[in-house]
Amino acid sequence: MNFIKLSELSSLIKSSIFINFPDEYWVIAEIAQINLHTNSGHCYIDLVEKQDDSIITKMRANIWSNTYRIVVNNFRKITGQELQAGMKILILVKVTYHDIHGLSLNIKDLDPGYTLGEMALKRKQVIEQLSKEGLIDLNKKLPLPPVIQNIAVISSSDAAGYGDFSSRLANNPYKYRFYYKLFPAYVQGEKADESIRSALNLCLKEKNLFDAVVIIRGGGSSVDLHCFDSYALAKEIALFPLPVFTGIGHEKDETVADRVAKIRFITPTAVAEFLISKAKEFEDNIDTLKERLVLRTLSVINKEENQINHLSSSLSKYIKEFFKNSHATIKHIVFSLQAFSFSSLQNPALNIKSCEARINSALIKFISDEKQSLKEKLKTINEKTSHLISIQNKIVENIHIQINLLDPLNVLKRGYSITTLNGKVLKSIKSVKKTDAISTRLHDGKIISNVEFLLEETKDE
Amino acid sequence: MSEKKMTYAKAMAELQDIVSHIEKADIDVDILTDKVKRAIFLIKFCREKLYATDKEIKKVLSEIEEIPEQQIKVKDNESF
Repeated sequence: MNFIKLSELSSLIKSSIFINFPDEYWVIAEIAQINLHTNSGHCYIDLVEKQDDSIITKMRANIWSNTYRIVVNNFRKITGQELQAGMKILILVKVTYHDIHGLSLNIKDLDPGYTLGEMALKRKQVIEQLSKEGLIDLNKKLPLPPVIQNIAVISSSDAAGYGDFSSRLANNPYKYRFYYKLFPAYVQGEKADESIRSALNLCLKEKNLFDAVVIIRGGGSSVDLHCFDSYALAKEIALFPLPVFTGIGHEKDETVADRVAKIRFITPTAVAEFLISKAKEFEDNIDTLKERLVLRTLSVINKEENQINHLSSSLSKYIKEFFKNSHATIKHIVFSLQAFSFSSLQNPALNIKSCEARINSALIKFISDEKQSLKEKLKTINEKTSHLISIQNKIVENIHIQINLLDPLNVLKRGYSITTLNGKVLKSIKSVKKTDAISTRLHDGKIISNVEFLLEETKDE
Repeated sequence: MSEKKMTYAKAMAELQDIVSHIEKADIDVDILTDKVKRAIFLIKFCREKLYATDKEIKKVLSEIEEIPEQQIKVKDNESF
């Protein structure tokens, strides 16, 4: 029986591989497991190919540290991803065989474009599935409360993003009060998907305490967003009864979690800014309404005041007018009352209008009667006056005649004369002495003579 | 409406209602007075809620069962 040593067989395999696999090959594979040796810097990967979730091929691979530094840094820069289990990669490999470690693939290069495409494809598939199930816009359809004041925060307690978020809320310039509660979770790495989902479940139990859920983590280009493309997480976010906001610190791509969330923000700070601006917007609306309220109230009060002023001024005017006319009015009323008979007052059919009519007609009658009586009086006065005047005329005439009769000239004409002494009319013989010069007035001249004799008559007639 | 269940949304809706009501043509001064009183109450409610510390909420939030921290301390910028 022929036999060879194990090392000889190994050499044969090695040379056979060397001869038959002289080139480098671009290979598509999925990472099943990945290990970075911190000391050496070499990276060891288990590669698999799956069909219907079962592994049909498995191979070991490695990336030497000098290659790793260049290739993986480039990969991270372009995809924003770390190499991790579950990820599909396109790699340039050289098939190697080692006497002790056996067959393995030495990775020379890594194509980030392929993984990006794969991620996008996977993301697209998850989104399609969520759409098909009617879940994709469920959270987006939830109403947004006007003020989001009580917030459940899902983040890592020492994440820079959480610090940014809470300090921004606490130091908001308007001094609004926000209440937030941290539900700690891994926000990157393999456990993140499940960890975030369990935090969401805890939030769900306290959902009545909160207005919204915020999922945040710090930014940076080297972050790993893989967990946020998970179907299971996206479904829970979509079905969550409160609005969910994301701020997971990436600008390039929208993850599935971002897609299903009520609102997606780039950074945790942006989420905080949004919450603050909502409160501000609410307060501004309140202020606007308050201003409208005050304006309207003032205008109504003003109008009312004007109306009262107007009413009171016209009332006082009316009262003045009323008093001015009161005399006449009272007269009218008195007269009108007289015009009422007792029976008409008792008449139940009597109403104000007929009263008014009666008063009016009574008034008219009163006025016309008054006019008539005035006319008559005037006539009487006229008659009486003319009578008086004629009498007066007669008297005057008589007086005139008498006056004529009494005129001394007329008397002198009839043969009488007037004798004066020193301008004084002589009425008695006793006023005259012998030799006095006396003047005798006749109707056509005077005689001046001296007294010769004085013959006093005795009064015995 | 129970005042205990008053929310920002309800307060805002009622306030808008009041303002648009009193802005309509003619409003009785007595009704206006009542509406203004109510509006002032709502505005005060919202302002107080925005600014004042609600000790009850704080207490309830701190009482929520603390999640065992399960070494959740992943740094954002942690990298290989």
